[in-house]
Amino acid sequence: MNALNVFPVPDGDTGTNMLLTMQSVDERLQSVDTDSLSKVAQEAARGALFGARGNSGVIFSQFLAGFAQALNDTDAGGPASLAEALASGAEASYSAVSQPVEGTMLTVMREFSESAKGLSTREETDVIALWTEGLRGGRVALENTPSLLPVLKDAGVVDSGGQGVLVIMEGFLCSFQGGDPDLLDIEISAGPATTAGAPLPAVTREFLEAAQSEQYGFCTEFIVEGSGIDLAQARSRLSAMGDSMIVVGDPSLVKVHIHTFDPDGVLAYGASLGKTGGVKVDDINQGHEGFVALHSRRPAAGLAVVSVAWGDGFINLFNDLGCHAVVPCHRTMNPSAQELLEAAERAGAEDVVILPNNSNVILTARQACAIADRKLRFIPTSTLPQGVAALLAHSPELPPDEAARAMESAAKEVRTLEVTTASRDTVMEGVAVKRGQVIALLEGRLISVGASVADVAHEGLLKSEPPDHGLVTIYWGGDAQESQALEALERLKSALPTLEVEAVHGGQPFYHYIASIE
Amino acid sequence: MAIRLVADSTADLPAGLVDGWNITIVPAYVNFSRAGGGVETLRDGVEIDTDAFYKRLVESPTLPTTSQPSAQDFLEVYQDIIQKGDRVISVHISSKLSGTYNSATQAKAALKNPAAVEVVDSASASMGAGMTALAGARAIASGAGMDEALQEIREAAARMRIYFMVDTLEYLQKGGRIGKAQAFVGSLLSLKPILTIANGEISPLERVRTRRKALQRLSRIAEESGPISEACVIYNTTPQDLEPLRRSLGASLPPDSVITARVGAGVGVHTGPGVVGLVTRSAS
Repeated sequence: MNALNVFPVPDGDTGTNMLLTMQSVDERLQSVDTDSLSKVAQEAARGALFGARGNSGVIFSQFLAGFAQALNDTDAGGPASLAEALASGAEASYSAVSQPVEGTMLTVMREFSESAKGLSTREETDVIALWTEGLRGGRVALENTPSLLPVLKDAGVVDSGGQGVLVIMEGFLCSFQGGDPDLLDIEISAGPATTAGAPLPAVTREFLEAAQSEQYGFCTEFIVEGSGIDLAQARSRLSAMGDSMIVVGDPSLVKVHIHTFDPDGVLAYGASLGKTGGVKVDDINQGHEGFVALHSRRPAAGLAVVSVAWGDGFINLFNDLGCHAVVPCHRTMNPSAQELLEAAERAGAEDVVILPNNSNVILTARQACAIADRKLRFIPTSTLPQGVAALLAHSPELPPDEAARAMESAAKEVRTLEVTTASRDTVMEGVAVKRGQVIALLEGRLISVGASVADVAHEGLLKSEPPDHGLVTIYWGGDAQESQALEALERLKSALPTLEVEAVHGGQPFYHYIASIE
Repeated sequence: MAIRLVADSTADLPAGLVDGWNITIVPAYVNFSRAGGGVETLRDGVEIDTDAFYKRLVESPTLPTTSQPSAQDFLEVYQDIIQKGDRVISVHISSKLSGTYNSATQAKAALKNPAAVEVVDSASASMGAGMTALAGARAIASGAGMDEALQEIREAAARMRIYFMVDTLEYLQKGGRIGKAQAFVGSLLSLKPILTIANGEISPLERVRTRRKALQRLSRIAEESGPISEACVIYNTTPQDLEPLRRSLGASLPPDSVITARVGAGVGVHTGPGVVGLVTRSAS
């Protein structure tokens, strides 16, 4: 499902997000001891609401919420009540998004429920027949998604969220039939030919590895107490020992989080800096828990800020700029509503604002605000530079409403350019992009394609038309080096001499540069 | 029996005003570490002038430090005035930013007749303190008695606002004077903090990216500062940045009434070069 991403870069993947959303449902149901249909449905919906990750996870959680609502007080039911619940779920999922788009998982859920409903009126039907008919209708709808949504046709894929819905529904059917879900053989739909006539994108082993390679090894966390600890030096020493490094604190107290193959070596280095404590080493392969390193600060008086960020440089930057809690984002998976709620709790203020900093986290942030039993708001920042701008505009001295307004309008002053390498062939905005080509996207729209990072970045920056006396900040990550970012800025400045420029370590995966233009 | 106004060199009062209003300035000390070891201590504005100081600040491999005037320094100044039969009002930099106020009160306590000296904490710095002292000097010149002059000084202190930008927070942080602006320290070099002094402490106001935007923001603060009765622009190394700010302030004041003052060594050590700011006294 991750491979069905229309965007040729693996990040915030639908498959991973939906899997983890359903894991949360599963965990919730493990502790439920009842045969009541309505109770089970409600608990499943609650598990999904809190565990929802990514837009697909949030939408599916709303489906389950609608499903449960229709079954309210129904302790046992048959095809008729289930069909009604499916319809109610589909309806609720449409209301989860402000502008529903056909050709997405919404369409698949609706067609599934309509097909099931059509069968439910027949007298001889049963739940298995109902679900089988729903799946049939859902599959037709999924195959049809590329003709409803041009970006899918361009990329030569069916909608990944829709595919996810069908996988989950197949799981239900398997369970109704008493089968073993581990033996379930699910067919993943191939997409149509791309509009450029390119062959079907093969789901290659290579792509799957790029899309699915979770950071492995050991998630290692500890605190060092000492004096005169050089944070910059510790960061540079530790970054050579692992991945996803976060080092925060001050010269007397440092918190370290790192994914490494060599936790002993990391801890030994920690001990050389001072007295270590709070040591936690988790095998990342054993699950996803343990990677969420939250850094709590002293309670804020006014509005506290929770930021979602990824890349060790960005995470350190958000911490340095005064975020009360930073929720690190994994390579291909987005934070859950629950993780955002926990971070808001740790921020320790009465009024908290979330900066999602990713278009695939905005819905999760909205959901977190809706289910929070505390004062929680979000600003719909869809990129990391927007988040930085919003955070810089934050004045803890201002009343929360005013502070949030200033942050929201500051976020709008920034445009974001992303430079990355396509991990597979696709078509974007009518332009054929080959695997391995470098692409530049301004506010998500393709503006430059080419062979070299330097040339594509330069063309992209020029086409972004930075204003006179403006500021361009390049956050370097992916395979890029600081020297290359500085060269890119040098080249830009010779073309546009009134600009101010700055290179900052972002450390984000896949994206050589994320640039803010303001 | 006259009243004499005493201030210290961190008030950054221009020489013309010091002479014109008969103000006595007690200099702070600036300490440079010598290459071969040891410390060279110079009296601010007396043994080192402002141009020479900023040249050395930028070139010096180690950051110079400052020391407040000693209680003895104040004692000598106070005794000198009292011997002539006069009394003293001594106005100084915020006691939360410097020990100067402390030295002055110690000197007062050491006098045979402490009642001859009144020491006032301006709760501000640079011309925030300077304009407060100036208000006292004017009151004295117009014939105010001790109580009346003190009341005017306290009222001026309460109405004085100071806003300034620094090129980097590095100097404030190293000097330990960063106060509530600690949260503004960040990894972005282009970050230009706009600061103020509130309750005697450095307080963060806004974080702006780029110097140009920070200067524009200061101009807007000047325009939006409401009815003001007096204003001053301050700088240390970039006089070219002042014109727009002076224009913004001049809109609500008679032309040429905006004072220009240069931040000297005592404050400059803690701000670093490139400071620009404004001081206003609100009219209501």
